[in-house]
Amino acid sequence: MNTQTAPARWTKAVWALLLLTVSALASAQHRLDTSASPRQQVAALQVLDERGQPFGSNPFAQQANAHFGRVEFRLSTPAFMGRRARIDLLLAPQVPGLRIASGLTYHWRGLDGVLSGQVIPGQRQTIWTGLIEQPFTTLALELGMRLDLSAMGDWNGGHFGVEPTFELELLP
Amino acid sequence: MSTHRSPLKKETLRRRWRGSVLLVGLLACNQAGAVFTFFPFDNPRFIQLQVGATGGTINNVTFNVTGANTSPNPSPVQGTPDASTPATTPAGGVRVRMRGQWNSNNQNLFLSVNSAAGLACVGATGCGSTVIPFNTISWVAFEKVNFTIFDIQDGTFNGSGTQNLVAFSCCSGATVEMANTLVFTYNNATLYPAGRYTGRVVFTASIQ
Repeated sequence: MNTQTAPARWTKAVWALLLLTVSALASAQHRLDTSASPRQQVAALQVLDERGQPFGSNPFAQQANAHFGRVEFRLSTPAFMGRRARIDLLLAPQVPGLRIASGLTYHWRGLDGVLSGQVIPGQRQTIWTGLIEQPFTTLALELGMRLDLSAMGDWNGGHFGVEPTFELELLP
Repeated sequence: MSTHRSPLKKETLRRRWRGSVLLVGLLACNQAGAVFTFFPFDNPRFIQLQVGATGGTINNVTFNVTGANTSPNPSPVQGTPDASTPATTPAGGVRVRMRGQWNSNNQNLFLSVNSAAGLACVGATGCGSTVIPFNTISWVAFEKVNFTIFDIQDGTFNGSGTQNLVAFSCCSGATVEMANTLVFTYNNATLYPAGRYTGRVVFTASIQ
């Protein structure tokens, strides 16, 4: 026999819903804010062609290899402090000017405990796993980007680049 | 068991509810921010041409006509590019590359050569004012593909100011590159005064 009043059932239902929602959120991927990063615009330190010569001086270059050196991404993680988590680096499937996704490879060497890896547009790669201890989690990469010019579509010139995004998933 | 709730408890429940909704809202909030990693890549409409070596280097192709090439019967002489000429396949050629790039619609690409000046006698080498026309020099083109309009064909300089080698319309918004290795031969069909002759042909690429 149900002895609970309507408000009591309502309270339990609300808390059940909240628990489900929080549970769902805990297993979901959370996009992390990178606006606290030291630099919002990171220009390549050096761009070489496929033979290791300066890209800008070879009109017949078939490939551009951009080297960015050490780049730090400062990720906002206050909501996850004290939790174990995995952070992935992602590239959006569409990159302005790029016709064929496989023509662009974003690669890095992880620094200070960050995992090394590479992705093409539309892919993700785990870059860090551990305990979130600070409101901001800094990931340092030695970053590079390889572009096959045959993969380019319409392009009017300018700055070619990508904005990597980072997603966090809480771990049990 | 009493199930009565006081107004105070109801208010407390409402606050918990609001607080919980706020918590869920905070957890569900997807924050953004972006770090743009880039390099300058200017790609306007352009055409590029490379004949032999890069930069401003002018390569020389030498035809050394010896007695063996003239007697008892004259025979053609294949040219030999100088040491600054990039190696080619087959060896002994000069590679001509043309690359066009543009953003949209078809473009017309042309490659022509000016050989009007001829090969003039170098002073004090014994050949006076003789000029050997460039139509004595022909070439065999290599690296040809099936689509012949995209390649330089075998040919002979015609001694004119504008001899068309390649002309084609191509490719809405694209990058097009053609490259052929030319191996030159002096036909040695006419007996000219002995001496040293030099001349220059000038290749011109255009996009219209």
